[in-house]
Amino acid sequence: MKTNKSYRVETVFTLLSPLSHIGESESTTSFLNTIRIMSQGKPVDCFAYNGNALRGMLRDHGASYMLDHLGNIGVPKKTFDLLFSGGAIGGTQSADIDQARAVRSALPFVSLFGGGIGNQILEGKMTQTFAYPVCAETIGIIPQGRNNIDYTAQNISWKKMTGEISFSRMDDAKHNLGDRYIVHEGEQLLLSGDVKPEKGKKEDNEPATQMRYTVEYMVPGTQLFHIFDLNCSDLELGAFVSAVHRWSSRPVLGGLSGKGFGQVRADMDLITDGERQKFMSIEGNQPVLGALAGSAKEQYDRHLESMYRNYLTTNEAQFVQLLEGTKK
Amino acid sequence: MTKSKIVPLKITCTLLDGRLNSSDGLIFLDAILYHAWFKLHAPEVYEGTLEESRIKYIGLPLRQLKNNRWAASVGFYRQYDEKIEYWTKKPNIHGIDAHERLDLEGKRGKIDISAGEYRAYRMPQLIRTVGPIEFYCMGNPRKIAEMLNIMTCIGKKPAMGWGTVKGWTIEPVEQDYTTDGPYGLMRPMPIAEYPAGDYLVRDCAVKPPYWKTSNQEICVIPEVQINDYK
Repeated sequence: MKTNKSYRVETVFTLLSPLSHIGESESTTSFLNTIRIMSQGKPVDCFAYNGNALRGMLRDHGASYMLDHLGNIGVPKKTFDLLFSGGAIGGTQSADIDQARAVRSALPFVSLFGGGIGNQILEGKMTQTFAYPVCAETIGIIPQGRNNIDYTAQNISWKKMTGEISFSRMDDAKHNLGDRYIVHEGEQLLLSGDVKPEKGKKEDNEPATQMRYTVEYMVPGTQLFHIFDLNCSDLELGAFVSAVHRWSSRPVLGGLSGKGFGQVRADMDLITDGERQKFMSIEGNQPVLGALAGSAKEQYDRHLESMYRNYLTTNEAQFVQLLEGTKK
Repeated sequence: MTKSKIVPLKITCTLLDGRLNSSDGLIFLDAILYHAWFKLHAPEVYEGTLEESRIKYIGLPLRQLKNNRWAASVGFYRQYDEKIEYWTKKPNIHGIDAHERLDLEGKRGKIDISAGEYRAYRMPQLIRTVGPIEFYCMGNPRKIAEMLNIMTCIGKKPAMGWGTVKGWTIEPVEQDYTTDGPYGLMRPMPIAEYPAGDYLVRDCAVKPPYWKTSNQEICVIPEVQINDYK
């Protein structure tokens, strides 16, 4: 029988590059996401990284890890939607005990993150906080006495940890690159394309589609504190580790990663039965697993390997049927 | 072993960041303990792997009233702000993962993300910024402490980051405040059992699970916000 244990995973993210996580926009300027929190008995506005964004990111990486280890398979769209987006139910909610048992025992990843299968919602096994910056406003939220938190930042408001940066998009068609490489009338085409603009497309004499836009960001060096509470089996803990492990190959948070935003270092502690231990640390694409994380991941890897050998190689259709919630 | 004693208690819940996801603002202590009971004794019900009807008796450490109701109040708090926040569901079906993982089984066509099964969501949630939440009950403090110890969150959508609990405190009080107390009416009461006065009257459940329509009847609803904040 599977038994659930309670685990608390506390993560300190240290920003290695600016972080963009937008809330509201005004014209071409995007502002950081803010929430109103209680700070030492008073309500104040503060930046926070949305918990659901973190969960969605880990769900994507966990699903990707699982499918890689099940023979790098592709899945139909309904299954894809369940694994990567949590799925949806197709009608009035109902309970199917046998299906729930089968999914939870075969697929710890789905059991941990939850989702809609057939007409049934399988509840996930994680709760969490938003990720809060270490700053003056979050004294009382950020726990004291952690050796990986820089508490001097608590003398500063989060508003002093932000900056704004503007980007421009240049329309190269209107510059010398366009003059040089866009085909002109009478010239021979080497690659297929339209010599004359189609209806509705840009003519040579139309204005350039250039723009300048601005984003607000949290400055590098800022630390964010986050908690996951898991109530799960060892195998499901392994599924959680697998998701973080896959994320660590490209450890970024937030948007604009293509422009160099969002790179982070992560230090994760695990608290179980009142005991704190090192869970994982991630710096520069290199995950270092603590003892419990390592053994949970090994166990999960063995489970996936056994799934692949005993199930997928012989009956892939049955596997997909299980995930799609098709009635037997 | 001494028999456990039921005494009048005040229980205070402090949230980590003060943000509570609740549209009507009613937080029920017996519902929190009911959830804790299942987490402790029958987690399979929440996991969907055991039928709830197989559970014959649910024993909460509270004084049991007639019709399976429990002697516990709703939560009372100072509310400092009320704000709409959103959760979103991004359909990865158009993302890089789909490029690598989606098997269209030889079919082609468009997947609509504006409607239907694969639609994107942006769901508004009413988030209240609140101070400590006070509950009153007639209960066994030791057993209640054991159960509340495993409740790390309250309110809706804790998996998305709302309602994380920082701590619970339990202290004795002089008398039973589960129906009438320092804030007037202390829990929804059927209209036949309590004079409505200026209170709101609407359908509400009177025992957990509070979402179940069969537990609902026309009730007098308490005013849960403590209104002395300036």
